[in-house]
Amino acid sequence: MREVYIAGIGSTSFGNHSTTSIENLAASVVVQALMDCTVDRLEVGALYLGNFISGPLNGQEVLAGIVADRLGLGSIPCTKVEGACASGGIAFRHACLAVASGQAEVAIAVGVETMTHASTKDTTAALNCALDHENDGPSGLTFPGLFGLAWRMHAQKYGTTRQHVSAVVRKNKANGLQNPLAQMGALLSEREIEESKAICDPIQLYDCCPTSDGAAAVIVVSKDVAQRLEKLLDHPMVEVLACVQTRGSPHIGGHAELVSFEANVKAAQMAYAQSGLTASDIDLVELHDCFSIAEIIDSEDLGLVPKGEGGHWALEGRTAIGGDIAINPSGGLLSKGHPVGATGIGQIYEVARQLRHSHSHQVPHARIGMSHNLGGAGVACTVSILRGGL
Amino acid sequence: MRIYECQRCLEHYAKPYAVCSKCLGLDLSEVDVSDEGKLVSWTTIRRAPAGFAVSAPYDVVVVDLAGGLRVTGRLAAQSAAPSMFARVLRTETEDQCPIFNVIED
Repeated sequence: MREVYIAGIGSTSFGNHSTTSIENLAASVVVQALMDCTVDRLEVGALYLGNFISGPLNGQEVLAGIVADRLGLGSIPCTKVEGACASGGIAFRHACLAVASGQAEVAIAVGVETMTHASTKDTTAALNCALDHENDGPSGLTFPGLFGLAWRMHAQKYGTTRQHVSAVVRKNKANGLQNPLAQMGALLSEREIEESKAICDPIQLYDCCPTSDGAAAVIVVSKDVAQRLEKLLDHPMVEVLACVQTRGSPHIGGHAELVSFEANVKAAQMAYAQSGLTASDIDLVELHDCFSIAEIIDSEDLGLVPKGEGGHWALEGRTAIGGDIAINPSGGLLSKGHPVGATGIGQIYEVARQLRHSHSHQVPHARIGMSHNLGGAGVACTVSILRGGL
Repeated sequence: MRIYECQRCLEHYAKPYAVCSKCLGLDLSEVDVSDEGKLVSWTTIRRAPAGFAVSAPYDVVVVDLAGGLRVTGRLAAQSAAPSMFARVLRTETEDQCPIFNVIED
Protein backbone atom coordinates (compact mmCIF):
# COMPACT_ATOMS: atom_id res chain seq x y z
CA MET A 1 0.00 0.00 0.00
CA ARG A 2 1.17 3.55 -0.79
CA GLU A 3 1.93 6.28 1.72
CA VAL A 4 -0.96 8.66 2.42
CA TYR A 5 -0.96 12.32 3.51
CA ILE A 6 -3.47 14.87 4.73
CA ALA A 7 -3.02 18.00 2.65
CA GLY A 8 -6.08 20.11 3.40
CA ILE A 9 -8.52 20.49 6.30
CA GLY A 10 -11.76 22.35 6.90
CA SER A 11 -14.34 22.53 9.67
CA THR A 12 -17.36 24.48 10.82
CA SER A 13 -17.66 25.36 14.46
CA PHE A 14 -19.66 22.72 16.32
CA GLY A 15 -22.92 24.01 17.78
CA ASN A 16 -26.06 25.43 16.23
CA HIS A 17 -26.22 25.63 12.42
CA SER A 18 -29.96 25.08 12.22
CA THR A 19 -30.42 27.66 9.46
CA THR A 20 -28.09 25.75 7.11
CA SER A 21 -29.09 22.55 5.31
CA ILE A 22 -27.06 19.42 5.98
CA GLU A 23 -25.72 19.22 2.39
CA ASN A 24 -24.71 22.91 2.38
CA LEU A 25 -22.91 22.48 5.71
CA ALA A 26 -20.94 19.54 4.29
CA ALA A 27 -20.20 21.24 0.94
CA SER A 28 -18.88 24.37 2.66
CA VAL A 29 -16.22 22.48 4.66
CA VAL A 30 -15.07 20.57 1.58
CA VAL A 31 -14.48 23.90 -0.19
CA GLN A 32 -12.52 25.09 2.86
CA ALA A 33 -10.38 21.94 2.79
CA LEU A 34 -9.77 22.14 -0.98
CA MET A 35 -8.76 25.80 -0.72
CA ASP A 36 -6.54 25.02 2.26
CA CYS A 37 -4.35 22.86 0.01
CA THR A 38 -5.09 24.44 -3.41
CA VAL A 39 -6.23 21.11 -4.87
CA ASP A 40 -8.42 21.43 -7.95
CA ARG A 41 -11.74 19.62 -7.56
CA LEU A 42 -11.16 17.85 -10.87
CA GLU A 43 -8.26 15.98 -9.23
CA VAL A 44 -10.60 14.37 -6.69
CA GLY A 45 -11.01 10.65 -7.38
CA ALA A 46 -13.38 9.62 -4.59
CA LEU A 47 -15.54 11.06 -1.82
CA TYR A 48 -16.51 9.32 1.42
CA LEU A 49 -19.09 10.93 3.67
CA GLY A 50 -19.58 9.97 7.31
CA ASN A 51 -23.11 10.47 8.59
CA PHE A 52 -25.30 8.60 11.04
CA ILE A 53 -28.89 9.81 11.07
CA SER A 54 -29.67 12.08 8.11
CA GLY A 55 -32.46 9.62 7.23
CA PRO A 56 -34.54 9.93 10.41
CA LEU A 57 -33.60 13.53 11.31
CA ASN A 58 -33.35 15.20 7.89
CA GLY A 59 -35.36 12.84 5.68
CA GLN A 60 -32.36 12.82 3.32
CA GLU A 61 -30.19 9.92 2.19
CA VAL A 62 -27.78 9.54 -0.78
CA LEU A 63 -26.02 12.39 0.96
CA ALA A 64 -22.56 11.68 -0.49
CA GLY A 65 -23.82 12.10 -4.06
CA ILE A 66 -25.83 15.20 -3.16
CA VAL A 67 -22.81 16.89 -1.57
CA ALA A 68 -20.68 16.00 -4.62
CA ASP A 69 -23.39 17.48 -6.84
CA ARG A 70 -23.32 20.76 -4.92
CA LEU A 71 -19.52 20.80 -5.32
CA GLY A 72 -19.65 20.11 -9.05
CA LEU A 73 -17.48 17.00 -8.71
CA GLY A 74 -17.19 14.62 -11.65
CA SER A 75 -18.75 11.18 -12.06
CA ILE A 76 -16.56 9.79 -9.27
CA PRO A 77 -17.59 7.19 -6.67
CA CYS A 78 -19.31 8.96 -3.75
CA THR A 79 -20.16 6.82 -0.76
CA LYS A 80 -21.91 7.47 2.53
CA VAL A 81 -20.60 5.29 5.35
CA GLU A 82 -22.34 4.68 8.65
CA GLY A 83 -21.00 3.31 11.91
CA ALA A 84 -22.99 5.40 14.40
CA CYS A 85 -20.60 7.71 16.28
CA ALA A 86 -17.63 6.22 14.37
CA SER A 87 -19.06 7.16 10.94
CA GLY A 88 -16.52 9.97 10.45
CA GLY A 89 -13.52 7.84 11.38
CA ILE A 90 -14.70 5.15 8.98
CA ALA A 91 -15.10 7.69 6.15
CA PHE A 92 -11.53 8.87 6.77
CA ARG A 93 -10.24 5.30 6.64
CA HIS A 94 -11.95 4.66 3.31
CA ALA A 95 -10.47 7.84 1.82
CA CYS A 96 -7.03 6.68 3.01
CA LEU A 97 -7.60 3.24 1.48
CA ALA A 98 -8.66 4.75 -1.85
CA VAL A 99 -5.37 6.65 -2.06
CA ALA A 100 -3.19 3.92 -0.53
CA SER A 101 -4.49 1.37 -3.03
CA GLY A 102 -3.80 3.62 -6.01
CA GLN A 103 -7.48 3.94 -6.92
CA ALA A 104 -7.28 7.70 -6.37
CA GLU A 105 -4.53 10.34 -6.11
CA VAL A 106 -6.84 12.62 -4.12
CA ALA A 107 -9.82 11.60 -1.97
CA ILE A 108 -12.19 13.61 0.19
CA ALA A 109 -13.34 12.48 3.64
CA VAL A 110 -16.19 14.61 4.95
CA GLY A 111 -18.40 14.14 8.00
CA VAL A 112 -21.64 15.92 8.78
CA GLU A 113 -24.61 15.83 11.14
CA THR A 114 -27.39 18.27 11.99
CA MET A 115 -29.37 17.56 15.15
CA THR A 116 -30.31 20.77 16.96
CA HIS A 117 -33.40 21.34 14.77
CA ALA A 118 -34.97 18.10 16.05
CA SER A 119 -36.85 17.55 19.33
CA THR A 120 -35.10 15.69 22.17
CA LYS A 121 -37.61 12.89 21.65
CA ASP A 122 -36.76 12.48 17.96
CA THR A 123 -33.02 12.83 18.59
CA THR A 124 -33.06 10.19 21.34
CA ALA A 125 -35.02 7.81 19.10
CA ALA A 126 -32.60 8.39 16.21
CA LEU A 127 -29.50 7.91 18.40
CA ASN A 128 -31.01 4.76 19.86
CA CYS A 129 -30.81 3.24 16.34
CA ALA A 130 -27.20 2.48 17.31
CA LEU A 131 -28.31 0.10 20.09
CA ASP A 132 -28.67 -3.62 19.40
CA HIS A 133 -32.47 -3.55 19.55
CA GLU A 134 -32.86 -7.29 19.84
CA ASN A 135 -30.66 -7.54 22.93
CA ASP A 136 -30.48 -4.18 24.71
CA GLY A 137 -33.42 -2.24 23.27
CA PRO A 138 -36.31 -3.90 25.15
CA SER A 139 -34.88 -2.85 28.56
CA GLY A 140 -35.38 0.86 27.79
CA LEU A 141 -31.64 1.51 27.76
CA THR A 142 -30.26 4.78 26.36
CA PHE A 143 -26.66 5.70 25.50
CA PRO A 144 -26.12 7.74 28.67
CA GLY A 145 -27.48 4.67 30.46
CA LEU A 146 -24.92 2.41 28.81
CA PHE A 147 -22.12 4.58 30.16
CA GLY A 148 -23.82 4.74 33.57
CA LEU A 149 -23.57 0.92 33.64
CA ALA A 150 -19.92 1.13 32.57
CA TRP A 151 -19.15 3.74 35.24
CA ARG A 152 -20.51 1.51 38.04
CA MET A 153 -18.41 -1.41 36.79
CA HIS A 154 -15.28 0.76 36.57
CA ALA A 155 -15.93 2.12 40.06
CA GLN A 156 -16.37 -1.41 41.43
CA LYS A 157 -13.20 -2.72 39.81
CA TYR A 158 -10.85 0.25 40.15
CA GLY A 159 -12.36 2.55 42.78
CA THR A 160 -13.10 5.34 40.32
CA THR A 161 -15.04 8.14 42.06
CA ARG A 162 -17.18 11.15 41.14
CA GLN A 163 -14.12 13.31 41.80
CA HIS A 164 -11.98 11.36 39.29
CA VAL A 165 -14.64 11.59 36.60
CA SER A 166 -15.24 15.28 37.34
CA ALA A 167 -11.55 15.94 36.67
CA VAL A 168 -12.14 14.82 33.07
CA VAL A 169 -15.17 17.11 32.77
CA ARG A 170 -13.31 20.10 34.20
CA LYS A 171 -10.28 19.58 31.94
CA ASN A 172 -12.27 19.13 28.72
CA LYS A 173 -14.68 21.98 29.44
CA ALA A 174 -11.70 24.27 30.17
CA ASN A 175 -9.89 23.07 27.00
CA GLY A 176 -12.96 23.99 24.98
CA LEU A 177 -12.64 27.63 26.06
CA GLN A 178 -9.36 27.75 24.08
CA ASN A 179 -10.92 26.32 20.92
CA PRO A 180 -12.97 28.71 18.75
CA LEU A 181 -14.74 25.71 17.15
CA ALA A 182 -15.99 24.38 20.51
CA GLN A 183 -19.66 24.56 21.45
CA MET A 184 -19.52 24.53 25.24
CA GLY A 185 -16.25 25.54 26.82
CA ALA A 186 -16.61 26.45 30.51
CA LEU A 187 -14.77 26.79 33.77
CA LEU A 188 -16.70 24.49 36.11
CA SER A 189 -16.31 23.94 39.82
CA GLU A 190 -16.47 20.52 41.41
CA ARG A 191 -19.73 21.59 42.98
CA GLU A 192 -21.40 22.75 39.76
CA ILE A 193 -20.74 19.31 38.25
CA GLU A 194 -21.96 17.46 41.34
CA GLU A 195 -25.12 19.54 41.49
CA SER A 196 -25.96 19.26 37.79
CA LYS A 197 -29.11 17.40 36.80
CA ALA A 198 -29.14 13.60 37.21
CA ILE A 199 -29.49 11.92 33.79
CA CYS A 200 -28.79 8.19 34.25
CA ASP A 201 -27.17 7.58 37.63
CA PRO A 202 -24.30 8.09 38.11
CA ILE A 203 -24.21 10.14 34.85
CA GLN A 204 -25.14 13.80 35.35
CA LEU A 205 -25.68 16.60 32.85
CA TYR A 206 -22.05 17.73 32.64
CA ASP A 207 -20.94 14.14 32.04
CA CYS A 208 -22.74 14.21 28.67
CA CYS A 209 -21.66 15.71 25.36
CA PRO A 210 -24.13 18.22 23.91
CA THR A 211 -26.37 17.83 20.86
CA SER A 212 -24.61 19.52 17.95
CA ASP A 213 -24.62 20.49 14.30
CA GLY A 214 -21.34 20.51 12.43
CA ALA A 215 -19.21 19.35 9.54
CA ALA A 216 -15.52 18.71 8.91
CA ALA A 217 -13.52 17.60 5.88
CA VAL A 218 -9.99 16.52 5.05
CA ILE A 219 -8.25 16.09 1.71
CA VAL A 220 -6.21 12.88 1.55
CA VAL A 221 -3.47 12.68 -1.10
CA SER A 222 -0.72 10.42 -2.43
CA LYS A 223 2.95 11.12 -1.80
CA ASP A 224 3.41 12.50 -5.33
CA VAL A 225 0.64 15.03 -4.78
CA ALA A 226 1.86 15.83 -1.26
CA GLN A 227 5.37 16.59 -2.56
CA ARG A 228 3.93 18.89 -5.24
CA LEU A 229 1.68 20.72 -2.77
CA GLU A 230 4.27 21.08 -0.03
CA LYS A 231 6.29 23.43 -2.27
CA LEU A 232 3.24 25.67 -2.77
CA LEU A 233 1.86 25.77 0.75
CA ASP A 234 2.97 27.37 3.98
CA HIS A 235 1.83 24.43 6.10
CA PRO A 236 3.43 20.97 6.34
CA MET A 237 1.77 17.79 5.09
CA VAL A 238 0.55 15.38 7.76
CA GLU A 239 1.42 11.73 7.19
CA VAL A 240 -1.06 8.99 8.02
CA LEU A 241 1.14 6.39 9.74
CA ALA A 242 -1.78 4.11 10.64
CA CYS A 243 -5.53 4.06 10.13
CA VAL A 244 -7.38 0.99 11.36
CA GLN A 245 -10.95 -0.09 12.00
CA THR A 246 -12.20 -2.88 14.23
CA ARG A 247 -15.49 -4.44 15.29
CA GLY A 248 -16.61 -5.23 18.81
CA SER A 249 -19.81 -6.55 20.35
CA PRO A 250 -22.92 -4.50 19.48
CA HIS A 251 -24.56 -5.36 22.80
CA ILE A 252 -23.73 -5.34 26.49
CA GLY A 253 -23.86 -9.10 26.99
CA GLY A 254 -21.14 -9.59 24.36
CA HIS A 255 -18.56 -7.52 26.23
CA ALA A 256 -16.46 -9.43 28.76
CA GLU A 257 -16.66 -6.36 30.98
CA LEU A 258 -17.93 -2.85 30.35
CA VAL A 259 -14.75 -1.39 31.87
CA SER A 260 -13.14 -1.90 28.47
CA PHE A 261 -14.16 -2.13 24.81
CA GLU A 262 -12.39 -4.90 22.93
CA ALA A 263 -12.66 -2.95 19.65
CA ASN A 264 -10.59 -0.14 21.27
CA VAL A 265 -7.90 -2.49 22.53
CA LYS A 266 -7.57 -4.32 19.22
CA ALA A 267 -7.57 -1.11 17.14
CA ALA A 268 -4.81 0.42 19.28
CA GLN A 269 -2.68 -2.73 19.01
CA MET A 270 -3.08 -2.76 15.23
CA ALA A 271 -2.35 0.98 14.91
CA TYR A 272 0.83 0.72 16.98
CA ALA A 273 1.96 -2.28 14.93
CA GLN A 274 1.18 -0.54 11.61
CA SER A 275 3.05 2.64 12.60
CA GLY A 276 5.95 0.94 14.38
CA LEU A 277 5.30 3.25 17.34
CA THR A 278 4.27 2.73 20.96
CA ALA A 279 1.93 4.62 23.28
CA SER A 280 4.86 6.60 24.70
CA ASP A 281 5.48 8.14 21.26
CA ILE A 282 2.04 9.80 21.19
CA ASP A 283 2.15 13.52 22.04
CA LEU A 284 -1.60 14.10 21.96
CA VAL A 285 -4.82 12.22 21.36
CA GLU A 286 -8.33 13.26 20.40
CA LEU A 287 -10.44 10.42 21.78
CA HIS A 288 -14.12 9.57 21.99
CA ASP A 289 -15.35 11.15 25.25
CA CYS A 290 -19.07 11.00 24.42
CA PHE A 291 -19.51 10.72 28.20
CA SER A 292 -16.89 11.64 30.81
CA ILE A 293 -16.34 8.04 31.96
CA ALA A 294 -15.67 7.06 28.32
CA GLU A 295 -12.48 9.14 28.31
CA ILE A 296 -11.19 7.16 31.28
CA ILE A 297 -12.05 3.80 29.67
CA ASP A 298 -10.71 4.80 26.22
CA SER A 299 -7.43 6.22 27.54
CA GLU A 300 -6.79 2.90 29.31
CA ASP A 301 -7.86 0.78 26.32
CA LEU A 302 -5.53 2.71 24.01
CA GLY A 303 -2.62 1.95 26.35
CA LEU A 304 -2.00 5.66 26.99
CA VAL A 305 -2.77 5.32 30.71
CA PRO A 306 -2.32 2.19 32.88
CA LYS A 307 -5.47 0.09 33.45
CA GLY A 308 -7.66 1.53 36.18
CA GLU A 309 -5.66 4.75 36.47
CA GLY A 310 -7.52 6.91 33.94
CA GLY A 311 -9.33 8.83 36.67
CA HIS A 312 -6.19 9.29 38.75
CA TRP A 313 -4.24 10.63 35.78
CA ALA A 314 -6.99 13.14 35.00
CA LEU A 315 -7.14 14.29 38.63
CA GLU A 316 -3.36 14.70 38.79
CA GLY A 317 -3.29 16.79 35.60
CA ARG A 318 -1.30 14.19 33.71
CA THR A 319 -3.75 14.27 30.75
CA ALA A 320 -3.71 18.07 30.37
CA ILE A 321 -1.38 19.97 28.04
CA GLY A 322 2.00 19.87 29.77
CA GLY A 323 1.24 16.52 31.42
CA ASP A 324 2.31 13.01 30.34
CA ILE A 325 -0.11 12.94 27.38
CA ALA A 326 -2.47 15.68 26.19
CA ILE A 327 -5.94 14.10 25.97
CA ASN A 328 -8.59 16.06 24.07
CA PRO A 329 -6.86 19.46 23.96
CA SER A 330 -9.73 20.50 21.63
CA GLY A 331 -12.21 20.05 24.46
CA GLY A 332 -13.30 16.68 23.13
CA LEU A 333 -16.89 15.69 22.48
CA LEU A 334 -17.84 16.90 25.98
CA SER A 335 -16.93 20.47 25.19
CA LYS A 336 -16.34 20.83 21.45
CA GLY A 337 -19.59 19.00 20.72
CA HIS A 338 -20.66 15.80 18.98
CA PRO A 339 -22.32 16.22 15.58
CA VAL A 340 -22.22 12.45 15.32
CA GLY A 341 -21.12 11.78 11.72
CA ALA A 342 -18.73 14.77 11.73
CA THR A 343 -16.97 13.92 14.99
CA GLY A 344 -14.36 11.49 13.61
CA ILE A 345 -13.27 13.90 10.86
CA GLY A 346 -13.35 16.77 13.37
CA GLN A 347 -10.84 14.81 15.45
CA ILE A 348 -8.54 14.38 12.42
CA TYR A 349 -8.90 18.13 11.76
CA GLU A 350 -7.86 18.90 15.36
CA VAL A 351 -4.87 16.54 15.33
CA ALA A 352 -3.70 17.83 11.93
CA ARG A 353 -3.88 21.41 13.20
CA GLN A 354 -1.79 20.42 16.24
CA LEU A 355 0.79 18.73 13.99
CA ARG A 356 0.95 21.86 11.81
CA HIS A 357 1.64 23.78 15.04
CA SER A 358 -1.19 26.18 14.22
CA HIS A 359 -3.77 25.30 16.92
CA SER A 360 -5.21 27.95 19.22
CA HIS A 361 -4.63 25.51 22.11
CA GLN A 362 -1.31 24.15 20.94
CA VAL A 363 0.45 21.14 22.46
CA PRO A 364 4.12 22.31 22.44
CA HIS A 365 6.40 20.40 20.04
CA ALA A 366 3.60 18.03 18.98
CA ARG A 367 4.98 15.57 16.41
CA ILE A 368 2.81 12.46 16.71
CA GLY A 369 -0.96 12.55 17.25
CA MET A 370 -3.69 9.94 17.58
CA SER A 371 -7.41 10.02 16.95
CA HIS A 372 -9.96 7.53 18.30
CA ASN A 373 -13.60 7.19 17.30
CA LEU A 374 -16.02 4.65 18.84
CA GLY A 375 -19.51 3.80 17.60
CA GLY A 376 -22.61 2.23 19.12
CA ALA A 377 -22.14 0.10 22.21
CA GLY A 378 -18.55 -0.52 21.11
CA VAL A 379 -19.45 -2.15 17.77
CA ALA A 380 -17.16 -0.02 15.57
CA CYS A 381 -13.85 1.65 16.33
CA THR A 382 -11.27 3.55 14.31
CA VAL A 383 -7.81 4.62 15.45
CA SER A 384 -5.41 6.72 13.39
CA ILE A 385 -1.83 7.77 14.09
CA LEU A 386 -0.59 10.89 12.31
CA ARG A 387 2.83 12.56 12.02
CA GLY A 388 3.65 16.11 11.03
CA GLY A 389 5.98 16.69 8.07
CA LEU A 390 6.60 14.96 4.74
CA MET B 1 -36.12 -18.15 32.20
CA ARG B 2 -36.37 -18.99 28.50
CA ILE B 3 -33.19 -18.71 26.48
CA TYR B 4 -31.95 -20.25 23.22
CA GLU B 5 -29.43 -23.05 22.78
CA CYS B 6 -27.52 -24.10 19.69
CA GLN B 7 -28.30 -27.74 19.03
CA ARG B 8 -24.85 -28.29 17.54
CA CYS B 9 -22.42 -26.63 20.00
CA LEU B 10 -24.78 -25.90 22.97
CA GLU B 11 -23.89 -22.16 23.04
CA HIS B 12 -26.55 -20.06 24.80
CA TYR B 13 -28.21 -16.86 23.55
CA ALA B 14 -30.72 -14.48 25.13
CA LYS B 15 -32.61 -14.02 21.86
CA PRO B 16 -33.78 -16.40 19.10
CA TYR B 17 -30.96 -15.82 16.61
CA ALA B 18 -31.25 -17.59 13.25
CA VAL B 19 -27.55 -18.46 13.31
CA CYS B 20 -25.24 -19.58 16.11
CA SER B 21 -22.38 -17.07 15.84
CA LYS B 22 -20.00 -19.57 17.45
CA CYS B 23 -20.41 -22.53 15.04
CA LEU B 24 -22.80 -21.17 12.35
CA GLY B 25 -25.32 -23.85 13.34
CA LEU B 26 -28.85 -23.06 12.14
CA ASP B 27 -30.81 -24.92 14.78
CA LEU B 28 -31.38 -22.96 17.99
CA SER B 29 -33.97 -24.30 20.41
CA GLU B 30 -35.74 -22.81 23.40
CA VAL B 31 -34.46 -24.03 26.75
CA ASP B 32 -35.47 -23.02 30.26
CA VAL B 33 -32.74 -22.07 32.70
CA SER B 34 -32.76 -20.85 36.31
CA ASP B 35 -34.31 -17.43 36.93
CA GLU B 36 -31.58 -16.62 39.42
CA GLY B 37 -28.66 -14.38 38.68
CA LYS B 38 -26.15 -11.86 39.97
CA LEU B 39 -26.42 -8.11 39.38
CA VAL B 40 -23.23 -6.78 37.78
CA SER B 41 -24.33 -3.21 37.09
CA TRP B 42 -27.34 -0.92 37.00
CA THR B 43 -28.31 2.61 36.03
CA THR B 44 -31.40 4.69 36.69
CA ILE B 45 -32.90 5.94 33.42
CA ARG B 46 -34.59 9.26 34.19
CA ARG B 47 -35.62 10.03 30.62
CA ALA B 48 -37.13 7.11 28.72
CA PRO B 49 -36.50 6.77 25.00
CA ALA B 50 -39.31 7.88 22.68
CA GLY B 51 -42.25 5.52 22.50
CA PHE B 52 -41.07 3.47 25.44
CA ALA B 53 -43.92 2.01 27.43
CA VAL B 54 -42.52 2.16 30.95
CA SER B 55 -42.42 5.58 32.54
CA ALA B 56 -39.13 6.88 33.92
CA PRO B 57 -37.39 6.63 36.26
CA TYR B 58 -36.57 2.92 36.04
CA ASP B 59 -33.45 0.84 36.60
CA VAL B 60 -31.79 -0.96 33.67
CA VAL B 61 -29.72 -3.86 34.97
CA VAL B 62 -26.99 -6.17 33.68
CA VAL B 63 -27.37 -9.66 35.13
CA ASP B 64 -25.16 -12.74 34.94
CA LEU B 65 -27.61 -15.63 34.96
CA ALA B 66 -26.75 -18.66 37.07
CA GLY B 67 -26.15 -20.57 33.81
CA GLY B 68 -23.49 -18.05 32.75
CA LEU B 69 -25.34 -15.93 30.16
CA ARG B 70 -25.12 -12.13 30.60
CA VAL B 71 -28.40 -10.36 29.85
CA THR B 72 -29.77 -6.82 29.90
CA GLY B 73 -33.06 -6.34 31.75
CA ARG B 74 -34.98 -4.07 34.04
CA LEU B 75 -35.62 -4.00 37.76
CA ALA B 76 -39.23 -4.35 38.85
CA ALA B 77 -40.65 -1.06 40.12
CA GLN B 78 -41.35 -2.60 43.53
CA SER B 79 -37.95 -4.33 43.82
CA ALA B 80 -35.62 -3.73 46.77
CA ALA B 81 -32.79 -1.30 46.01
CA PRO B 82 -30.01 -2.62 43.77
CA SER B 83 -26.45 -3.12 44.98
CA MET B 84 -23.35 -4.51 43.28
CA PHE B 85 -23.39 -8.32 43.04
CA ALA B 86 -26.85 -8.53 44.65
CA ARG B 87 -28.70 -11.79 43.98
CA VAL B 88 -31.66 -11.25 41.68
CA LEU B 89 -34.58 -13.33 40.46
CA ARG B 90 -36.43 -12.93 37.17
CA THR B 91 -40.10 -12.74 38.00
CA GLU B 92 -41.63 -11.89 34.63
CA THR B 93 -40.87 -10.90 31.04
CA GLU B 94 -42.42 -7.76 29.62
CA ASP B 95 -42.21 -6.91 25.89
CA GLN B 96 -39.15 -9.17 25.46
CA CYS B 97 -37.46 -7.65 28.53
CA PRO B 98 -36.67 -9.81 31.56
CA ILE B 99 -37.82 -8.12 34.79
CA PHE B 100 -35.75 -8.83 37.89
CA ASN B 101 -36.25 -8.41 41.63
CA VAL B 102 -33.42 -8.07 44.13
CA ILE B 103 -33.48 -10.98 46.60
CA GLU B 104 -33.08 -9.65 50.10
CA ASP B 105 -30.94 -11.68 52.50
